[in-house]
Amino acid sequence: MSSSDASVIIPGTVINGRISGSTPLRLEGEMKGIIDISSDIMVGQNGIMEGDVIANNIMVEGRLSGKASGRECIVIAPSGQVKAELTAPAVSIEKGAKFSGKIDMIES
Amino acid sequence: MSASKILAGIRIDGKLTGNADIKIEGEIYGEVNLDSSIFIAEGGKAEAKIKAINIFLAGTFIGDAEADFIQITPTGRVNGKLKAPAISIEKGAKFTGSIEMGEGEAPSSETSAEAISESADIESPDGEEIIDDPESSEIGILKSSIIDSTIKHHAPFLPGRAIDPESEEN
Repeated sequence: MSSSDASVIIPGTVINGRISGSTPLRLEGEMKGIIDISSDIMVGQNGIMEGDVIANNIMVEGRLSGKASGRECIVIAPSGQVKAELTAPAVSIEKGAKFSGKIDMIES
Repeated sequence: MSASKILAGIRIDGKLTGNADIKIEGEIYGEVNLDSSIFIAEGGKAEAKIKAINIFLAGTFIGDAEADFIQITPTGRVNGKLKAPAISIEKGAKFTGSIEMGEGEAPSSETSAEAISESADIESPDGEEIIDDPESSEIGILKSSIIDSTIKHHAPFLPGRAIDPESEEN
């Protein structure tokens, strides 16, 4: 996921509600609600996501709580802190990452 | 990274707050409350109630906007209520709605609508003072001043005006 053509929500921006669309998104700020995109999302090191995330690929370097549903893959990077129900055909939790919750590796 | 950027293809519904600048090339519907600036870029769309330090409108905006400074650039398409001590509507921009500038002194800006309307007031015909009707916006004053000067220009062709010798001398 190249960040140059992705929407970016930087620290200091707080969104309550819903983000939808078809282009990549990088969250470094705070978001509470629903993110439903037919593209990829990155919750960056500073990012805090609370709620439901639906996307093709979900990469978490920051904090995520709620539900995450990936059409392709969910990756929790070493800096990620996740408390969520994950649903995706492929899930990767890298060494160092914090995770508590459920995982459902659906057949795609 | 100095601003949040919402690109085309992304839509936000809800409330947006914070102290970081935001650029919208996508769409936003709802409420925006910022201790910073927001820029609705060309191609971007906002249907919202926006409060911010500076609001720059180069795309489509429908709703209420309140700030220290609001600017509609030539590509801006705006329909709503604007409230700020300084407002600039650039040539080419489309605006429908109301403007409230309040009592406060506007920051000195060559392009602010207030500055334009002040200079327009000076040229008002017959030295008559245009009374600031609290209902009328600055744009209303600006418009009436333009209409008056148009009437003056075409005075010989207008019955009533043409037979008034004083208006001919002006």
